[in-house]
Amino acid sequence: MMYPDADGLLAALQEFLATPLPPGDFERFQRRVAGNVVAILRREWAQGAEAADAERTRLAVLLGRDGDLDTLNRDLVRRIRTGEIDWTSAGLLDHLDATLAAELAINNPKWIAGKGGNTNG
Amino acid sequence: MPRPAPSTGSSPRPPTSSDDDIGQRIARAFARRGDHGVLSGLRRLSGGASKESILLTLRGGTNERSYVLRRAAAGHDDGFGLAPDVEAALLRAAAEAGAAVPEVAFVLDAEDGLGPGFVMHKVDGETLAPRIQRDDAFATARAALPAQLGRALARIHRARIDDVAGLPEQAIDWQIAHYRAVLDRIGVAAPALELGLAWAAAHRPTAPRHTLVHGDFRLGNLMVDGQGLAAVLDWELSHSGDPMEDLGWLCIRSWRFGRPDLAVAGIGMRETLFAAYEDEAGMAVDRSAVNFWEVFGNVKWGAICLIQANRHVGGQTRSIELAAIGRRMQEPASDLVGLLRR
Repeated sequence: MMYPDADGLLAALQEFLATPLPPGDFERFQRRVAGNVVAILRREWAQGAEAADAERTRLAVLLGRDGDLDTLNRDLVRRIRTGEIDWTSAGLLDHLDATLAAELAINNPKWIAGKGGNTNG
Repeated sequence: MPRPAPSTGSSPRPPTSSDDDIGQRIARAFARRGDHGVLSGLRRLSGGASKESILLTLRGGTNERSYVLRRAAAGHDDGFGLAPDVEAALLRAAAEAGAAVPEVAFVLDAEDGLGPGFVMHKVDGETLAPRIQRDDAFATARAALPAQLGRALARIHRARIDDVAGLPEQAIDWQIAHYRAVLDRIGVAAPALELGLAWAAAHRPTAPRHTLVHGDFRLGNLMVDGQGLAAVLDWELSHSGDPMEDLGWLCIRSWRFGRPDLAVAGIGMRETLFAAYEDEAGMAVDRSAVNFWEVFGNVKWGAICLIQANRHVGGQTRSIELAAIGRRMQEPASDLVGLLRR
């Protein structure tokens, strides 16, 4: 699950572009963040649909039911909270690893390569 | 109440137009306390989520003195972080316990007209993780830091906090309930974080001590000079609770920055940190509790990424920077799942 979703990031980008900032450190930093957001959106454009489809297919197997991605994820959260599923349950950690790896491939590919990638101070 | 978020690093603050007015008020605040120096410099620093930090220089006669003013700022979220007077009281308590912290000069009052805040002496050094981890100028510091961090934490954890009013108690049960409520409030389904919370509820440390906890002890919040640790900064997330929380938080991969292979701040080994802590504290480090807090630290940082993005999505603070932080949730979440496999 990505938050904000792609549309939310585009809205933030639109606002950023429509709001002039005085030149300086703050403006430079925000512009760098905006560039990174564009890179995320481009990767999501290329990979997002396939990743979401694979996640939904895995969830349907894990939960033994069908539904859209959001419904299935909310069901998984509910079952984790009630204790019906936990960290020892077959397939759960593999599913989460696969989901998070696909999301990191969009949000921060360097993280998977073990190169850190947290450059935020 | 929204849980305070750790400072997210080095982002500069937006410029504002009222610096002249603030400068006059600051000069008057010093004059009221007997320092009639002339304000010769004023610059906003990057800072925590809830406070504004202003670097200022006063010139009187031949000498020049630098201070940092910390104050609750307009435009920063309410309910985030400790009140400035509590932060100042903690700095004093930590200093008394022997921890290296900035010296508090004075606490602002209503007559200063600057809002709640305090002034501390500036400590020289570097806070940016990449420089501390890589620059030749910090080679000596890097060798010394892992043990210095252990000693600093041991001292912080013996600070006397009985007299500090307004310090929140955040034991593990409170934190688990709190972050569950945060995920519900934001309304995002985050199964990995939810699993981390469930795991935490089943693996709570059984007999934690109860001390001052810094709450955000990591590179970025530590002033480092050529010799190593110069001062522990950013106390706005401090609380009372299990001291092992600070050691676990320091070790999460997100705070190793460019060196994920080195557990302690991307600089050193866990056992160096633990040995120094034990020597200074005169008691053993509970390794399993530190592991617990490392797992929980990943849950917490993941939740904070969502909280920061929610400040943007919810409209309190529209910012592309905050929006982008939401997309970092997967970093700690993925590390968390790795830790649960052990």
